Amino acid sequence: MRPSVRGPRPSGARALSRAAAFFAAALLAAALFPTPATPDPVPEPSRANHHADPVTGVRRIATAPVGDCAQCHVPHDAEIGMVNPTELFMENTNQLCYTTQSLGGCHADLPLGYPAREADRMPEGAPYPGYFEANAAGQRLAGLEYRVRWPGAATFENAAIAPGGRYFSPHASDPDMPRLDATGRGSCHSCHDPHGTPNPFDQLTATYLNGGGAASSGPPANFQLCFECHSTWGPSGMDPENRLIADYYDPGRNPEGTAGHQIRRDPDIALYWPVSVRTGDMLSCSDCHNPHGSRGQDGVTPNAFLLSDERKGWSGITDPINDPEQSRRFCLGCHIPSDGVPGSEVVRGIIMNTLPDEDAHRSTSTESCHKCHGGDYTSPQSYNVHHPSPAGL
Amino acid sequence: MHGARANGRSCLAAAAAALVLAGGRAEAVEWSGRFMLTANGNEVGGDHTGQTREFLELTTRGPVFVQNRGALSILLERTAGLEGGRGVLRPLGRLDLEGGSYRLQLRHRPDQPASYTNDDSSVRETHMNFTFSRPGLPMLRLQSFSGRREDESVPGRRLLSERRADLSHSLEWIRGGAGYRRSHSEDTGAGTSVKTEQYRLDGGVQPSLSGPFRIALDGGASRDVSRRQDGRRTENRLYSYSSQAGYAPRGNLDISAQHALRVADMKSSTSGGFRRSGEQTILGRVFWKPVAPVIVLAERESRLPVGDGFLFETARAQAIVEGNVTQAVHLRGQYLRTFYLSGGEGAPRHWWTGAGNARLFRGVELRTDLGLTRDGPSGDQTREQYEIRTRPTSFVRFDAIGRIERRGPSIEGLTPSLYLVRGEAQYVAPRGPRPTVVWEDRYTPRTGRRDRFVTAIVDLLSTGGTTLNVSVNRTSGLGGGLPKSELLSAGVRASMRLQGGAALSGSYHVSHRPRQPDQRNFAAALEWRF
Repeated sequence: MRPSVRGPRPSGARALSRAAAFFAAALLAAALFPTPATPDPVPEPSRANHHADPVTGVRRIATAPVGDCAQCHVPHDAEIGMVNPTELFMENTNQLCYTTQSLGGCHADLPLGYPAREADRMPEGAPYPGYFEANAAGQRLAGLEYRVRWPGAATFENAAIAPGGRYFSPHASDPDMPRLDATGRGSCHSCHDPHGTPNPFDQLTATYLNGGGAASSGPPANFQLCFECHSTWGPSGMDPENRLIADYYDPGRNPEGTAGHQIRRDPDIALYWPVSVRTGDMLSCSDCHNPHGSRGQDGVTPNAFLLSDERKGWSGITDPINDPEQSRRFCLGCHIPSDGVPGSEVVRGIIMNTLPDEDAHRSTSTESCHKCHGGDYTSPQSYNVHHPSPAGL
Repeated sequence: MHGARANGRSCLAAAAAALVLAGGRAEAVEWSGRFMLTANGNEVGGDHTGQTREFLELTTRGPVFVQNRGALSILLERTAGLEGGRGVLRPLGRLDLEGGSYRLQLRHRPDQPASYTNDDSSVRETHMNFTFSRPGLPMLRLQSFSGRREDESVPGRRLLSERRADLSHSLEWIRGGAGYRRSHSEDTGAGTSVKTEQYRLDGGVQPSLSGPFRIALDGGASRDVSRRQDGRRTENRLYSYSSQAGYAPRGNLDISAQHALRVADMKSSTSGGFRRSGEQTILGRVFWKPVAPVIVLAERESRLPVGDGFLFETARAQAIVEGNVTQAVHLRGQYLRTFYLSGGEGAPRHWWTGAGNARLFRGVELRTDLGLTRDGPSGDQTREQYEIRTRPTSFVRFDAIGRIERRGPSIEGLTPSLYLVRGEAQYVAPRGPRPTVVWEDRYTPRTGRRDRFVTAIVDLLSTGGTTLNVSVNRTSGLGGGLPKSELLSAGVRASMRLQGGAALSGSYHVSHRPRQPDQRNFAAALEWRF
C-alpha cells in the first residue's frame, strides 16, 4: 500500500466545534431571512400548467371537471376517511404520479411513442426549436401517450445497480437527490412542479430549453436545471466527475471551441444545420441523456449514466470509457462512420455527414473513440465527450 | 474506523444542539425518518463481490421551518463489504430553508472515510447555495464549496489527494448575467496548487420593432486567470457576440442575416504572449413558401478564421415539400444541394430524403423513410427504413422496424450493406400479467455477420403495491470474421409494500456464456419510513 500523504484527522472535539459552528451559521442565516409565518401561498398563474388544462388536463375522477384542483386535492368532506397533507387523494410520493386508479391514466406506463424520435422535436419556426416535445407543426400534442421522454415508472424506479456500482436510475435511487419523497426515492418534485412553472415545457422547476450558448461566456443558462446540481455546488454525495459538467460547458474556462460538445458547423461532421443552430451552440444535455433512466434502445438492456434510449445502438452501454465497443456504439449513435451513408443520421435537425476518412472512423475499426477524443473527468479542463479534445477533432 | 464513529457522533450531537437552538422548545420539534438496508452482490466462477448499506435519515420541521418549506436532516450511512468485516459510517447534515423570495441549502459532510475498502481514503465537504429573487430584480446567487478528498484505492489511478474551495456570486437576469468565481484546488499527491479567478458577463436584447423587422443581439465576455503554485500562470479571455436581423414583408417570405464573432485569447507562462483563435460567421438566408406544401430555403455562409484557419464559404439551396395528403397521410420530401465555394472539398453535394407517415386505420401508423446521397467520396449511397407502430386495442401495442442500407458507385450499382428487422410487442392490460417480447435480427452482407437478439419479460403482478416480473433473453452473433458469441440470461424481480410504511424489493439474474463461468447478480432492499 502506498503511504498516505494525508495529515492527522481532526479530533472529535474539533469536528464537533466545526460542525456546531456550521449549523450555528446556518441558523443565523435563517434568522436573518425569516420565513413569513403564513400558510403556503396560492400557486400563481403560470405559463405552463398542463395538468390544469380544462380539456387535456388531469382526468383522474369523473366527479370533478378535467384539470380541476379536485382531481388531485380532495376536500375535507369527501368520502375518504383520512386526509393527507395538502388534501391530496393519497400520500404525496412518486406513487401519486403513477397512480393507476385514474380514468385518464397517470404516469405509470410507458407511453406508446417512447422513445422519442427526431420528429418529436419542436420544429424550426416554432418556439424553442429542437426541444424534445411531441408536436404537430409546432403545437404540443397533449396526452400521456405523447410524453415520449418518459420511460414509465418501472424504468424510473429501477433500483438495480449497473456494473461499476452506479445506479441505473440515480435520480430516483440516490439518497443525495435534492428532494426525496416520503419513501426516500428521488422525488419528481426535484425537477417538476405539478402546478406549473414559468418554463414553457414539462413544468420544470428551473430553466431547461433547447440548445444554445453560442454567445455565452459561461455555462449556458438554457441548461440551468441540470447545472443546479451538476456543478461544483452539487449534492454532497455526488461523484466528483458529475460536478464538473458545468465546467466542461463553460467556454470561459475552456475557450478552445469545444466546451459543451459545441456545434461548429463543420462540413466534415454534417451536411446541413437548421436555421436555429448557431455556430458555437452547445449540445443539449437531453440529446444524450434522459434524466428518467433507461430501458435501452432495445427495450430490455438499460444504459448507465442516464444515457437516453433514443439513438440506434444505445442499449447496454454501461462503461463506454473503458469498453471500446460501447464507446463506438455510443458515438456512432449520432456520427456516421466514414464508410457509412452520408445523411443517414439526423440529430436536432442537423443532417450528419460521414466522418473524415481515417482508419479509426471506419465501421470495421475497433478503436475506442475516447482514446483520441478524451475520456478524462479528473479536472475542470480535462477532455471528454462533454468537452472533446480539439486535437481529436 | 474509530474516527468515523467519532465524527458520526459529533455530527449527530451538533445537529441535535442546533435543533434545540432552532426550536427553543424541544417538544415542538416534529421528526420523521427513514431507514434503508440494501445489499447487492455478484458471483462469477465462485468469486463473490458485493456490499451492504444501511441508511438512516432523520428530518425535522421545527418552529423555524414553516410548513414544508424548510427542514433539517441528519443522514447516517454505513457501507460494508458483503463478506462482512468493517464498515464505514458516513454522516451528513442537511439544512433547507425556503421563503417567498429566497432559498438556502446547506450541506456538511464531516471528515469521514470515502470508501469501506480503504482506510486511507477520506472525504469532507461543505456546500452552501443561496438564491434570492424578487420580481423586477435580478436574481442573486451565492454558492460556496469547500472539500477535501483523498483516495488511493482505485487501481491504476494516481493517488488522488485534493482540496478544493470554490466561491461564486452572480447576478442573473432574464437574458444575461454577471458573475465572479474564485476557486482554489490543491493536489497534495501531485504537489500542485491552482488558484483560479473568473469574471464573466453575458447579455442579450431583443427589442420589439414595429412592422416586419426584428433584431436580436447576444454577447458575452469572460476572463479566467489561473495561477499555479510553481509560478506558472494561464489566462483565457473570451469574447463572443451574435446578432440576428430579419425582415418578413409577407407571411410566406422571410429574409434574415446573422453575424457572429468569437475570439479567444489564451496565454500561458510558456507561450509568451496571447494566442488568438476564433472565427467570424456571416450567414444570409431567404425562406420562401411559394405555395402551401412547398418551402424553399437558400442560404449563403462565410466563415472567416480569426488567427489560424482557412476561409470556408458555401451556398445551400433546399426545397421541402411537406403536408397532409389526407388527414391520415403525411408526406415529406427534402432536397438539399450544397455549393462549396471555398473549402469543403470531397463532401457530398446532393442529399435527398423522402418520408411518409400514414395512419392506416385507427391505432396503426406506418412510417417510411428513404434517403439518397450523391457526389460523396464513395459514390451514391442510400438508406431505406420502414416502421410500423400499432396499438390495435388499448391493451396491445406492436412496433416493427425494418431498415436497409445500400451503398455503391452509382444508383444501379447499389448493393445492400445492412438489413435490420426489429420488433416489440406488448400486452398492457391494466390488471393481470403483462407480457413483452422484443426481438432484433441484423445482417451485414458485406461482412457476413448476423446478430440476433430476443427477450421476453412478463409482469406477473403489478397492482396493490406488489410487483413481480420474470425475464429471459438470448443474444447471439455469427460470422463476419468474428468468433461465435452467445449470451443467455434470465432474471426475476419483485417488490412488495408492507404494513407500517415498509417496502421490500429484490432481484436475481443469471447469465450464461459458453465456455465461460456463469454470472449471478442479486440485489435486495428494505425501506422503512416512520
